[in-house]
Amino acid sequence: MSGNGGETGCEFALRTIEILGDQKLGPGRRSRLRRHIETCPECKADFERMTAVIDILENMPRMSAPEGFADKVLEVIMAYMPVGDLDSIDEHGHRKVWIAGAVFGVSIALGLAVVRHFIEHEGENGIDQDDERVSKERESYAAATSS
Amino acid sequence: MNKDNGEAGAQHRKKLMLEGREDTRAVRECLQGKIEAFEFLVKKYQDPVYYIAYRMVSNQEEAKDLAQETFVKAFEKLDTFNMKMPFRSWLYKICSNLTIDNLRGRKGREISVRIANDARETEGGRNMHLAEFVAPEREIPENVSLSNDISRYVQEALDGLPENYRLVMVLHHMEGLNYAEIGKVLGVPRNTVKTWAHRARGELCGSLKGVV
Repeated sequence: MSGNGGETGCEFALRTIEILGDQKLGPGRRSRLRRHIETCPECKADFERMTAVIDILENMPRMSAPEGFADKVLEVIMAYMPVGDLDSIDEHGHRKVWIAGAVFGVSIALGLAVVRHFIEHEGENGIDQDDERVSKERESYAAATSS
Repeated sequence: MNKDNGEAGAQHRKKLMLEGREDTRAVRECLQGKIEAFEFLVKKYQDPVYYIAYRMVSNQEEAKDLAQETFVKAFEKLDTFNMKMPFRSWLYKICSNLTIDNLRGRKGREISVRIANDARETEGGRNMHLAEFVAPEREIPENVSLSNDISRYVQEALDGLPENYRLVMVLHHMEGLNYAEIGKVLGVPRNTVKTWAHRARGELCGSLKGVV
């Protein structure tokens, strides 16, 4: 770091070179830097290298996603989540889990009620049938003993 | 000149705001079950997401997989998206996390290979050249406006940066995000991003001495 700008000039130049990629330089800062690098070859080299690096970074060749990329992504999404599942999300983005839970609960309760009714009904029939069979047996036994 | 810059900046901000509204509307529609809305988002962001992934991992196949994973994950987590945040930042955050995980996994694999290689060497086995295993694949795209040599050197210099510095360079200089937005993507304050950017550019200048 040498030159007519002296240490302060070089420090200013370094600080300015550091922020070159952050923002566009104001006219005052730009002209002060220009004045300094005209007399300081080291700072000039740093300045030129930095501007070249920034220029290269900003002009690196762009690349596009491969052909059919979006279709492939949608295919993957549809494969693991059918569109029907999307309906389970409300307008605020929350899945309607509570609805599914309520439906499940009601289904279980109904199922249990039906099963219980069926068992009770079948049980009563069973008792009636047993009574009928016992009375028939008694009658036939009585008939047999009396004769 | 400054007035022009100010006007250009205002126009850019307005464009971003309109795009942000468009994205938020698409997210809402998607959450209401319209898959076409997500298709719109994929088509809009497929190139930048792929490009960020490519610049981070320097491998087309890995970049394609990472970009695809980014969109699938975004779709899965769409109900957690904060509508006040720009969709672009949120998407880039997913992409950044996935690429960093990928790079860390790659480092882990390289270390495993190194250990295995060392073990083979100590056992007196075939003395394999480490570079065969650890040299990352680098592909240089065709039809480039910049000289292939220079873009290769710059990509190699970028690959030599720590992951966070590299991301800042890619997002700021190649994708045009400002430091505040990068801060949101990386989950760090704006000033931290600025410091990383200064160090990254300093390291790049050092690496590219003699080239540029």
